[in-house]
Amino acid sequence: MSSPHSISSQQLTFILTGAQVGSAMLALPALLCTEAGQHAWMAVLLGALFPLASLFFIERLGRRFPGLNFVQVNQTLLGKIGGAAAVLLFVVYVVFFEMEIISSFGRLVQIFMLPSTPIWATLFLAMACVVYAGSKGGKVVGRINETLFFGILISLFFILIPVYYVNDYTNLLPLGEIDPLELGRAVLVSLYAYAGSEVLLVYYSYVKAPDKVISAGLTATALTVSIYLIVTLACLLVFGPDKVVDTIWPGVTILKVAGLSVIERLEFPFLAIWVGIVLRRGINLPFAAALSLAQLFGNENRHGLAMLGVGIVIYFAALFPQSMMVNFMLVNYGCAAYFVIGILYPLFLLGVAWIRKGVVKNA
Amino acid sequence: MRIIPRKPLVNNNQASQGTNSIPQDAMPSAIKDQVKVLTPYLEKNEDMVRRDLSIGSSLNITAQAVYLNNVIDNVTFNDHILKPLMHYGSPEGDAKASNLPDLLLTSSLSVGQVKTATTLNETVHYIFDGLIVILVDGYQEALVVDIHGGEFRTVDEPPGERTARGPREGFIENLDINISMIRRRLRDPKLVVRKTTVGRRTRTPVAILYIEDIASPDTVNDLRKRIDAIDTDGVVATGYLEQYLEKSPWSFFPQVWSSERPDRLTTKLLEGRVVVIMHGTPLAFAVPTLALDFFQASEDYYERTIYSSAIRTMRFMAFFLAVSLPSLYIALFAFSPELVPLKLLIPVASARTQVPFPVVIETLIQEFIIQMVIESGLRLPGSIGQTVGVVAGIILGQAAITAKLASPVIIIIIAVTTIATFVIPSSGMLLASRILRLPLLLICAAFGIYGFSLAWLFIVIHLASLEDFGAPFYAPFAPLRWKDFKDSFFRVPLWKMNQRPESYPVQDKQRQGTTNPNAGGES
Amino acid sequence: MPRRVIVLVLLLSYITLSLCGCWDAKDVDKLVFPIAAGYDVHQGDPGNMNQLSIGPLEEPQVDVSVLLPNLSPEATAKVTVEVMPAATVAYARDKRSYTNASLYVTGFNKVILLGEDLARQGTFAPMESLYRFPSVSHTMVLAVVDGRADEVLKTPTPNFENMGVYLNNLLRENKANSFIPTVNLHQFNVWQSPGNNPVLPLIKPGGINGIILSGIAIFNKDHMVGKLNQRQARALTLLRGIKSQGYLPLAPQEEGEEQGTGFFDNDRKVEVERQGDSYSFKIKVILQGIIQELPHQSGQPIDTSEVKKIEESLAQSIQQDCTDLVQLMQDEFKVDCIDISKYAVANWRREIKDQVDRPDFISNANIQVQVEVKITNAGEQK
Repeated sequence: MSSPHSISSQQLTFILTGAQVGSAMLALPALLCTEAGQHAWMAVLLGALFPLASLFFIERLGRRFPGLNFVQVNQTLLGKIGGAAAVLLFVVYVVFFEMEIISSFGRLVQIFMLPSTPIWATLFLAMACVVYAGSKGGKVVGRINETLFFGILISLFFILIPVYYVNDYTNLLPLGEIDPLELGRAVLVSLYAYAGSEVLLVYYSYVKAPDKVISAGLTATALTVSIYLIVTLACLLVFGPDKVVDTIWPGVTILKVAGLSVIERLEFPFLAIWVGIVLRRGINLPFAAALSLAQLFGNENRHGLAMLGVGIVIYFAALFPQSMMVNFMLVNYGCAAYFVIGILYPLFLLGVAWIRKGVVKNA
Repeated sequence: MRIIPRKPLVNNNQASQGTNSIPQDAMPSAIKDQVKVLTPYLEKNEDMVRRDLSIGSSLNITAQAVYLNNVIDNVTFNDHILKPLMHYGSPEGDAKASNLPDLLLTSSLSVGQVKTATTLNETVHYIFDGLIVILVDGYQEALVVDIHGGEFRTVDEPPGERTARGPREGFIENLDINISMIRRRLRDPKLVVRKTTVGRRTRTPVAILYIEDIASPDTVNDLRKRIDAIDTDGVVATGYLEQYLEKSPWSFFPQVWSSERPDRLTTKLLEGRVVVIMHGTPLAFAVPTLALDFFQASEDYYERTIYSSAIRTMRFMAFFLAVSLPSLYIALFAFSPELVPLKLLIPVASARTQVPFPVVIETLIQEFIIQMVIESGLRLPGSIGQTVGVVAGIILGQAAITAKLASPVIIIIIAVTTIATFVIPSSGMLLASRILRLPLLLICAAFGIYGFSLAWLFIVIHLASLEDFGAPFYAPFAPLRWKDFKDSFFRVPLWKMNQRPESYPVQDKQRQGTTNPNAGGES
Repeated sequence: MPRRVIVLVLLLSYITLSLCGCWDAKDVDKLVFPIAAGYDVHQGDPGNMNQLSIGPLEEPQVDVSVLLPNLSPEATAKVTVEVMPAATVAYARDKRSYTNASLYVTGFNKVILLGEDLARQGTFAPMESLYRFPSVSHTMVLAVVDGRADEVLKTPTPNFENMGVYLNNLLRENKANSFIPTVNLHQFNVWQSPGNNPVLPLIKPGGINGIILSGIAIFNKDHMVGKLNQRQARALTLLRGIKSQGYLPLAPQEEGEEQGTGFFDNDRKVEVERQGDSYSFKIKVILQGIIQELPHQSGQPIDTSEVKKIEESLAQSIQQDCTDLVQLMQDEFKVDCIDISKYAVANWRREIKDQVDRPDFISNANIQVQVEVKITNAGEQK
C-alpha cells in the first residue's frame, strides 16, 4: 500500500505555493516600495531567484538519494547523530518561522476582524485547524492545498476590483530610474515572501513522480511570482509609491478603497477567504516538521502525535511576540533563516554528498 | 467450520461465529423420524403450515410439505407443487426408486428454483428462510422449493425521489424484484449478481451487483470482505448495512450514497460502482461514494445540459446556505455590521431593539423551533404534517414577531435556510446540512466571520480526509481531478462524457465513443 | 490513542470557546451607527461638555459632530446630532462615552464634512485617525462646508430620512450628473503624495433639501487654500480630468440667440515637456456628448456644419473658463489644483520629487489648454 503521505506532483505545486503565499502577500508591496519605490515589482521578479535556487539544490540532492526521506538523507550524509541534529535544527527553524507567521496572522485577525478577542483564543482556533489537518497525513495536506489554492484566485480577484475603479498609471513611472542598490535591498526583502519553498526538503521523497519535481517547482514559483506581481502592481497603481508605504498591509487596505453595490466592504469577504490561504502556510511547514520528527523517531505513522506536539509548541511560541513591532523584527531573522535553511543547507548537504561519494553509493 | 449454511462470498470465519445451535446431523429417512426431529424447532410457530400429502396416486409415498404461511406463493404451491406431486406417476413404475427426490425435482415439480436439503440444520433454515420443504418418506433428502410469494407492495413511484421526466419505478421491499428491475435496464451478461445473507438471526438476503469488466475487482473484494465480516444478529434495513460499512462513523457526512430508483443505480453500475441491495428495504446503495453523488439528482441527466447545470450550481449554493445562513446572520449582525448596507441595517437594528434576546439566542431559539417543525412534519401523516407546517410557518412566525420574541429578519433567515435544506436531493446530505448548522452557528457566535471561515476550513479538511474503497470522498475537488469536473457544478452534455469518472478506481475508463453526429461534437 | 486525544481536546476547546467566547460580539441593536460626521475648529461656548475637560492636553481644539439615526421606535426624533468638543478627533470618542453607552460603529460612517476653518487650518491631524482605524472604509465621501459642519448636520432635510442619507446620496452620486467630483477618503489620501493636491466638493446651506453643492475647495496638500464657485468648479473638474458627466449650455448661433443644452462626458490628456527648469504642459480637455435641447425656429434639421459651429462655440467658452482658472491658480493659489505635476513626476520622479510641490513650480509652468468637443447625437428630433 502506498504511503499515507504520498502526493502527486500537482499537489506538490500547490503545496509549494501554499508554503510561500500567506500574509506576506498583503505586506509585501509596502516592504518593497519602501526600498525600491515604483520599481518594487521588479524586485518581485528578481527575488524569485531565491526559491528557484533552493528548488534546484533540493532537487539535485533528492535525485542523489531516490527513495530516502529527509531524515534518512541527513543521517546517511551526516551520520546518525549529525543527521538527527540537522533534522532537529530544521524543526526548530520551522517553529521559529511559524511563530512569526502565526503571530502576525493573529495580529492581522485582531486588527481587522476581532479587536477585543484575546489573541490566544483566535490562535487556538487556528492552530486547532492546523493540527487537525496535519494529523490527517500528507495525502490530506496535499488535497487541502489543492482546493484552497483557488481561494488565492478569488482573493486576487477581490484585489483587482479596486484597481478597476481607482488607478493611476503614472504611479509606475518612470521605469528607467533604477538604483541597483535600492533594488538589491528590495530583493533581499522579498526573501520574506518566498520563504517556505524549503518544505520541498521533506516533501520530495513523497512525490509519486520525482522526475516531475522540477516542473512542479517551476510552476509553483511562477504562480507565486504572479500572485505577488499582481498584488504589488495593484497596490502601486492604486496608492502610488509614496502612499503605499504608509500602511502595514496595503494588500488589505487596497480593498477599503472601493466597494461594489452588493458587497460594500470588500475587505471582509477577502479576509474570510484569506484566513484559509494563510493557514495553508501554517499547515505545510509544521506538517513537514512533524513528519520529520516522526521519521526521526522511527515511525512516520505517528505524524499525528508529532503534529500535535509541533502545533502546541508553535501555538505558545506565537503568543510570545507582544506587539506587531516585535513581528517586524522577527521578519528579518526569518529571512536570514530561510536563506540558511532553504539555500545554504541543501548546498551544504550536496557538498557533503559530493565529498563522501562512497557513502552515498552504499546507501 | 461454518455453521450457517449460507453461501459465503469470501471465506471468513469471523463472520460465521454464530450462536446457531441446530445440529448439522443428517436427516433420518423415515418421515416419522423426520417430523420428530423437526418438531422442536417448529412446534412453537403457529404460522407454520404442515401439509401432509402422498406422492403419486399409485405410489402412496407419504410426504409432508412444511412452510411458513403467507411467505410463499399459494397459487404456485397448489398448481405446481401439490398437484404434480399428488398426480405423480413414475414412468418406469419403479415405486421406490433410490433417486426419487431427484426424479421429482427434474420431472415433476414445475417451478424454477428447486434443490434438496439433507441435514437438519439446512432443513430448518430453509423453512425459516421462507422456502417450502417437502419431506419424503424413506429419503434423507428433502425437496426444497423456492416460491417466495405472499403480499408485497407493488412497484410504485419512489416517494423520496420523484422526477418529472424519468421512469416512475422505485424499488420495493423484495430483493429479487429489485434485482430484476436493474437486470431489465442493464442486459449486459457481464452484470454480476452475488448474493449473501447478513445477520445471524434475521438472515437477510443481500445482493451485490457490479459489472465485471468495469468495476474495480479491489472494490468488489473489499466490499465482499467487509459485508461478510459483519457479525450481528440482525439487519433490518439498508441503513444498518451502510453504517457497518462506513469508515468514519463520527463524520458529519454520509459516506454511502443510496437511492430508491433503479435507473439511478443502473447508471452507477455503468460508472463502475458496486451496488448493494438488501432484502426488505426499497433502497439500494452504491460504493465507492463521492460527496458529489449526494448533489446529483436523476433529473440532472434527463433534462437538457443547460437546465441541469444551472440547477446543479443552485443546489451547491443551497447547501452552502443551508449550512451557513444562520451563522452568517450572527457574524454580520453581531460582529461585522459594517458589512451590511445602510438601508438594510437601520431597519433591522431598529426591529431588533424590541427583541429581548441577543442575536445568538434568537437564532438558536428559531433554529430549534424549525427543527422541531421539520421533525414533526416528517412523522405525521400527510395532511396533518402540512397543517403543522402552516401553523408553524405562519402562526408561530407572525406571532413571534408581534410578540417581539423574534425580529422579522431571523424568521426570513430561518425560512430560507429550511427551504435551502430541502433543495438537496439526497436525504443523507440533507441531514448533514441540518446538523452541521449548529456547530457553525456556535463558532460564529464566538468568533464572527473569522470563526465562520475557520469552520468551513475545518469542514474542507475533514471532507478531504475522508476516503473509502480507494476513492477520496471529496474528489474531484480535492484531490483535483480536472476531468471529473464535467459532472460537478455543471454537467456537460452526455455525449461529451467519454470517460468514466477518474475519482475512484475502475477497470475500463472508456465510457463511450467520441461521436455525436447531430450536435456538433467532435466526430 | 493520540487520535482520540486530539479529537477530545478539539471538542472540549470548541465547546469552551463557543460558550465562553463572544469577546467581540456586539448585537446590532446595542450599537449606534454614525452616518455622517463633521469636524470643526472648536468654537465659542463649549457648553456643559467643557466640565469634563481637565488639564491642558484636554483643552478642546476641535468640535466633532456626529449624526446618529435613532433606532428605537419610541424615539421622538429620527436622528440625534451630537457635538463633542475635544482635544482631538479620536479623543471625542471618550466624551461620547459619558453620554451614550451604546457602542459607536466608527467604521460605518459614510460622510465626513470638514468645516472651512478646520480645512484652512490643516486636515492632517483630524484625518489621521480615520486612516489608522482598521474598520473605517476608505470609500467615505468628503466635503468641505462653506461655514460650519455641525450646522450642516443639524439642518433639517424634509425629503430624506435624515441629513446623513441625503449627503451620502448627494456627495456620492453627483459625478453622474454634475461636474463636481466625488472625493473619498482614499483619493484625499493619495492626493497628498508628491505632484498631487486634493480638491473637495464644497457645500453650503440652501436649496430645497437644505444643502447644496456650491463649488470646489482647493487644497494645498492637507490645508484648504481657496474656494471655487460652480462655474469655476466645472472648469476645474474638466482640467483635472475627473471623470464626470454633466450639463453644459450650448450656443448654436450668434450671441443672444436661442440657447441649447448638452449632456457631456469628459476626459483629458496631458503632455509635458521640459527645457531645463521650465516645464510646459499641454492639457487637452475632451468633451463628448449629446444634444439635450436645441430649440430653433427655422425648422431646419441640424446639419454637420451647425454641429461644428456648436462644438466650436462650446469649446471656446469652456477654453475661456479653463484658461481663466489656470490663471487664477497660477497667480492666486500657487498650487497645482489641476493635477498635472504628477506627469512631470512620472518622467523625472527622483529629480523633481521634492520641488514639484513648491509654489513656483506651478506658477512658472507654461500651461496651455485646448478643448475639444464632440457631439455624437442630437436625440430624437432632427
